[in-house]
Amino acid sequence: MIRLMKFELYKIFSKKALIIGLVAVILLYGFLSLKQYKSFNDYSYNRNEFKKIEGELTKEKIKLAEEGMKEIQKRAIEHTESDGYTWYEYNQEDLDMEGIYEQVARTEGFQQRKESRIKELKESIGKLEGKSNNKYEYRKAKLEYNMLQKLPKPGIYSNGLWDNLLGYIEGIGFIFSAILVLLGLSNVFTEEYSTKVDRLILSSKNGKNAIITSKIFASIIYTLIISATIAIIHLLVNFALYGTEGLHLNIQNYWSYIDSPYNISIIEFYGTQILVNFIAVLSFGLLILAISSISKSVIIPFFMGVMLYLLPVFIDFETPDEMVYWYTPIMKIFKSFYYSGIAQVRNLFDQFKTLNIFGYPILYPYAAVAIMIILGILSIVFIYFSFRRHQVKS
Amino acid sequence: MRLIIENITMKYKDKVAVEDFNTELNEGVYGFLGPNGAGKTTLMRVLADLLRPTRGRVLLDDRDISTMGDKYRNILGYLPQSFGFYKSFTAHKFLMYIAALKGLDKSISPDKVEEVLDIVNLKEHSKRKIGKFSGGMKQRLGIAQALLNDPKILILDEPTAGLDPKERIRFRNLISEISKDRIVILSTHIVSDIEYIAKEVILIKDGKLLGVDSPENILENMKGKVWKGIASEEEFNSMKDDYKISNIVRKGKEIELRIISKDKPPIESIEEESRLEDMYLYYFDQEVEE
Repeated sequence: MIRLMKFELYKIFSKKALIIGLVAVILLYGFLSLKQYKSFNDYSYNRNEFKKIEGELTKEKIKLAEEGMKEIQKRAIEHTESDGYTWYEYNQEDLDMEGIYEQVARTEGFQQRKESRIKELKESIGKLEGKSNNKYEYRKAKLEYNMLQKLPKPGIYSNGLWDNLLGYIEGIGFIFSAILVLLGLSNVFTEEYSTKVDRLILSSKNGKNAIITSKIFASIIYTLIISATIAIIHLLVNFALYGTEGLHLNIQNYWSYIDSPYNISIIEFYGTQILVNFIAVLSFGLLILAISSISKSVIIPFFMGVMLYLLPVFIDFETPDEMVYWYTPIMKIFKSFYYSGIAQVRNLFDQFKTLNIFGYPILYPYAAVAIMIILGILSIVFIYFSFRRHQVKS
Repeated sequence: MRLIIENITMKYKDKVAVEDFNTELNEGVYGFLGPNGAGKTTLMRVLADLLRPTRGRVLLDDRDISTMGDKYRNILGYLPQSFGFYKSFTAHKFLMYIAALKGLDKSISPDKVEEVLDIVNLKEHSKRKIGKFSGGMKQRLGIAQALLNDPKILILDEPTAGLDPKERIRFRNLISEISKDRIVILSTHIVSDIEYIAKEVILIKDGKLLGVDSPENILENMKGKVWKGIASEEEFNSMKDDYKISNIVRKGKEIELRIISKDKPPIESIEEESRLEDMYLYYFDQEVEE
């Protein structure tokens, strides 16, 4: 079976469409990285001012930020009245400093919210303890309480490196991975039907069992190679452009995850992000294989894959805020657990969210991984069933 | 070894491709002969485990092949009527892939691949990409992959398509050589593929078994049904729609005809020794394709 798997891997990697796709992805990644780096350098924190505030949040720094913000707002009002310019067009330096002071305010706000929430949860736990009809709520409150207790206080740090490092997967990375998986795997079974090699395969000893296993394993290895290569290159590029400062700090210091309850460092979270993204993209890849196993044209798995992956993103993006409130519980769950949603990772970790499974609160990341694994297994079962039962009629 | 085709029926939505087909095969060459659309390929696909029959079963030594699974396919060699390759693969690489599919041991695969390439006269092209092969070369490669696992049951569906006369003769000789201790099923509408090598000829028409017999017996049955005569243009024109004519040779103003008929035709004619292609015309009402 290892020999067969090597052949299947060779067939995947030797596709012209994949090579073209890889080159396009690399060029686009390079362009976007340089653009981001330029923007990072152009957007200059007033370095000296930022140095005064950088680090652990203290009362003195909060006071400095409050007073600084008042001065900026006072200048803006004065100049708006006298010059007739709007606030946002007026002063770049003031805009930069406003960003820094807002970061202080956000961080202070988070710390206050966290302390208030811990207090709230403690009270809830006290009320719910011992009551048999609210076990889920009790367990959920206790879980959140335990998680928030462990979090260190956030500080004020430059988010530029982390923005690029962690923002890649949720921005464009989850699409790049899916494109490469679609290009590599859409044709795995479809090619056998379109080239009419299926009749040679299905009439051979290993043609209804070992070959299927080989194709699945080859697809898994392919996805792993793609994910690992992207992860390593992205990490090295970021180290080269932005350095390694602050990677040991908790993710709550990064604005996107300021409300996250997870006690994990930036670099650990990057590893987690890559792993969750890989599991989601792999599960998606297995779905594409399943569709390929019943399609005689490569357009079908490719097109269906694009729709299944991107349509929920589009719907989510375009749904007016008012309509979100109409979402039923099932829709809310779907919104968090479609393939591309999980591949983006952010929605799973940015806040405390759980699913109620038989009265036990399951954190979203664990639920997401479990769902992806279950869907992956179902896809595999379907592939075995469909290819083994395939008949050559034309 | 005994391969029994028992009441095989294959129905599609609007068509019955094979109907209540019964026959028994042992070691030797069997020629399944019939015109295009007779149901031969459908039957070959059932035997190659590519199609599940609507009714009936195929038994190998009293075991249903549908339950044998990879144990049956392990002794099978199959050349489909239409098949493809990976154009970017070389002949050698493709056969190594097929060897892996057929479960050949890694240690013997390279030698077996070389051996079959030599048999089909493709050894010097083994490192060429299949995309650059001619139709005949692809057909020979197809035959090579069917022989890789030294199969006990060899199913060849229209095996000589695209082969030149020299390669056809080579192919026939090869089949004769290897048929001693295996079942070779040759499905074809080309009489010359089987006429000198088949142990039995199995006639199929419209999905039904027409008859099974040795070539000698078939020719014996055709005695008194083949005539050679000379006709004028007018006589030929009046006869051609009423009689099966297997050969026409114009000799000046006269036409020499080879006629298949139970009764003597209404022209000056003598009884001729029959050939298998006469039988084809007699049973299938079509001219033999060469």
